[in-house]
Amino acid sequence: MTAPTAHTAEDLERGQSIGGRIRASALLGTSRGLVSTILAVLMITIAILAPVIAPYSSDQQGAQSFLSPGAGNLLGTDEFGRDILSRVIFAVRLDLVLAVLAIPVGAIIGTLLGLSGIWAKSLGQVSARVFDLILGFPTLILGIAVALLLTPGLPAVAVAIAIINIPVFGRLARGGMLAQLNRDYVMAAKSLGASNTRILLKQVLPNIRGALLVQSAISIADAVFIEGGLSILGLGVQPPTPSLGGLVQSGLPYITTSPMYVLGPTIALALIILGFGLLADTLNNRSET
Amino acid sequence: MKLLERAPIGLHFDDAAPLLAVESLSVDFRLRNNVAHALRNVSFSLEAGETLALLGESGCGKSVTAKTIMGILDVPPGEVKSGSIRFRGVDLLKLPERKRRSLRSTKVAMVFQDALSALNPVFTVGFQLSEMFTVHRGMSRHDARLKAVEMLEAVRIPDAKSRLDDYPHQFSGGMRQRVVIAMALALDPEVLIADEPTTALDVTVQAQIMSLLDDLRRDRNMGLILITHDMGVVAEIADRIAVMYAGQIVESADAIDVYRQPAHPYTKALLESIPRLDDRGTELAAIGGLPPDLSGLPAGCSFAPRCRFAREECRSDSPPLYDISSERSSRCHYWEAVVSS
Amino acid sequence: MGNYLIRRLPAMLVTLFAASILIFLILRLAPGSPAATIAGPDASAEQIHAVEEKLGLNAPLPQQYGTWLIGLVTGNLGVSIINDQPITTLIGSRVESTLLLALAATVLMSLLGITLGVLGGSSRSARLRSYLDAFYSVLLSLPTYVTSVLLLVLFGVLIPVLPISGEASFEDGIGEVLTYLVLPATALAIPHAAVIGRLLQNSMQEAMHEDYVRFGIAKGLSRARILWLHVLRNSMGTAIVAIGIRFSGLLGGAVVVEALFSRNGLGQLMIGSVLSRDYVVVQDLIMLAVAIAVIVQALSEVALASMDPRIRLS
Repeated sequence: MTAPTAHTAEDLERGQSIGGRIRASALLGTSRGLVSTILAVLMITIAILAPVIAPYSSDQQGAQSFLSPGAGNLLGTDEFGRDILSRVIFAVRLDLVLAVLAIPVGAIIGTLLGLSGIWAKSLGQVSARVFDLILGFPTLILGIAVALLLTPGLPAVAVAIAIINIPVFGRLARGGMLAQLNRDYVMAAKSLGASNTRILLKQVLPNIRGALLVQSAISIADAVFIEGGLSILGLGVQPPTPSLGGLVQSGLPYITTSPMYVLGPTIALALIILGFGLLADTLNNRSET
Repeated sequence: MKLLERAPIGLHFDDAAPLLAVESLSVDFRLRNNVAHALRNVSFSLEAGETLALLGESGCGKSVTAKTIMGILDVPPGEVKSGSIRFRGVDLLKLPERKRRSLRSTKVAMVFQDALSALNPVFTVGFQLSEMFTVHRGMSRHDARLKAVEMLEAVRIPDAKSRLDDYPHQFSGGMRQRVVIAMALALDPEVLIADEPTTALDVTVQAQIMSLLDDLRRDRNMGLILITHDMGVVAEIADRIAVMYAGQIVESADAIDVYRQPAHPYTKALLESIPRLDDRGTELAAIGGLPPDLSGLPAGCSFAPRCRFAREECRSDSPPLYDISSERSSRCHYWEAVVSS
Repeated sequence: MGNYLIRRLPAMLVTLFAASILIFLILRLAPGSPAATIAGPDASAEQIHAVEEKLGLNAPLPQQYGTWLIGLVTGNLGVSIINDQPITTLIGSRVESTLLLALAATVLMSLLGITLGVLGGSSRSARLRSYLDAFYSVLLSLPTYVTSVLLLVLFGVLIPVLPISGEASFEDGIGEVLTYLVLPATALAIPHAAVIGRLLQNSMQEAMHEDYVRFGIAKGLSRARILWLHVLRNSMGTAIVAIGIRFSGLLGGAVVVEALFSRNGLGQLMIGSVLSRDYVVVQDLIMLAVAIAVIVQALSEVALASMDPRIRLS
């Protein structure tokens, strides 16, 4: 399955060019930028305001089962009489919270490993090989392997997300570090006695800031993608906890009779993944001629 | 597809007209915010068996001229504003594309400067050469191959037969250029335009290619337009020279006259800038200043800012092409001063 | 060609070797003993021990790895923990389904990708090209499971012309087999078609500005010939390599598609094994996936070499 990750040298270079601030015009100027920003902001808002905007709570049973979409239930009800729209809203929240919690874990580990090359060259090189190896696996296969090891469930998804982000951020950090170390002024600083930490803080980090930002957007799209995939297969978040993939999985048997059950979360998945993915594209200044 | 390409051209040529006559050709380039005048009122003519050299610095418009004649100018941003290009009386610019295409390489052919990029890297040289015969003459692959060998031998490539199956990158620079020449001449065109054919080559190879072009021209009685910035290269084989500057022809004359007695300050400066072995110890004479920006041309003569003969008048009045004699012209108000200096 | 393949062999073997070690280690070093997880949360110590005995988990790690590796190479893939069947049989019974799916998807993605790519690449309209580019962006970001669900709804609910679940075997006739293949293969092919299309389009557009195109015009060749013969031949190389790379992505997506369209292939086997903690099967399947990916990659590089003489003759 194709999962977008920024791991080529050119991506890094381009990211470096936006080490500074992001201009609002760059973000909203193009139609792609506008659409993706709106989608991303929309989804984040839904996630944050979920309890407020959802018409019902996510586990409230009471209404009739399998009601068609109507005034009381915009997307209908599921097999237990729960309002589908509310469940989708809470699922969006779960997915994004999951992403926001799991990604940094992997990102920090990966970045530390990636930057380790500045202190211990061999550790850095080994890390690079490990990164390559992990990235060689199709994302979903990796997720399945993790689910196997840790018993399918929410924790497994979280760990899978964290693991996949280790090499992704690791390559970024290592690449940025290597690029900087080759610069003359860095070598000069070193010969003047600057410590490695100082070089990291002053030279490397500011330069990979842009790429890190772009990668974060991609990682969010990726994380939701992983949750969706694993849960649809039954290996991710288990019912009754509402997750986007889990809702699709629950709704699949009823697809011909209550298509909205499955369409709601599917479209939510599509919007989040598209939105953050295109946002990353925009931030990366990828030209589209 | 094949049938159409073999159709007779259906054009009426005028045998009394010059082989190639460019008249008042003006070409503009549309830039982001303004327009660059790449060619301004360029006129010259060419007869069979004649070699005309278009001489000038890079950016003076000589390549644009070549491309416009061939019809391979990138049409946005380029745009032919006015003028005519007549091949044996027929104005190429007025022809519909299909007819124009039928003349390319069959009547008017071109040799590019960089042979490596002009050839398609994934096809053999034999294929690209045979293509000329299979597409234009409808020959069978076998016959086309035989003709291809002939052409490679005509351009003096040793071991022609086995070289047919080699790829462009397997040839040396000089050999590659010969291959390109072979392709250009495959269909016996009457006009050959050589755009800086030797600039990318070693000096020794340059001489060989030049002499090859000269021989081929003579053998086939072709009109040869040689485009270059190198006066030395031109000296041996040019019959006539047209000097270009900033999109205009500034001097046009028989080669001998240009070398002996230039009639335009620019030509004179060019000649003087050629280093001579017997001038030891003297400074190299370069032409001061830079060529003008074609989108923001100053009023008056384009060369005035760099000209040592320039006077008041030159900066306000654009000089027309003055006729010095039936064969010579110069775009300078003070050409007499230049000639006699 | 054969030479080229032989030269790639060492690198391929190294990759396979490294991957096998990684897979092996990850599964062995997971938290908790594998025997315990297999035996279940309520197992007693004796039961766990019995499982260990049965699976040879008592042996030192290198030996276990060696046994497995030798088994892989000699064709003895071990025995399923759950139902005691030899894994080779398990895989064999489902390989056809997955293979058909992968092949159909590859054909579709190539056809679709190349068609779109050539359409955009040969077009002079910048507007068409940017619409196509936006189209590609959307298509390749959508996960396969999303497109699958959308297709399921479209053809299961709105326009019920194609079957949305199950599969047919060749006994029922090629037609039947194909009707059951269309939707899942399409879902699988879409994101990859988009990548190929975009790659080809960009490659052709760049090629249009190359000197050999201009020289081709000077040679009096028609625009059609230049496009379809000269430019395409040059750009095909990139497309082919892309197809090769995309293939391993197909494998991951196949798992999802098989589940969603109820096809009984290797993907389903994988999931079932994960759910029943039959880790030997999972181990073998992952290894198979990696091996296929490596081989296909090498093959596409060979194909590239055959199309681009500069690479072949270096």
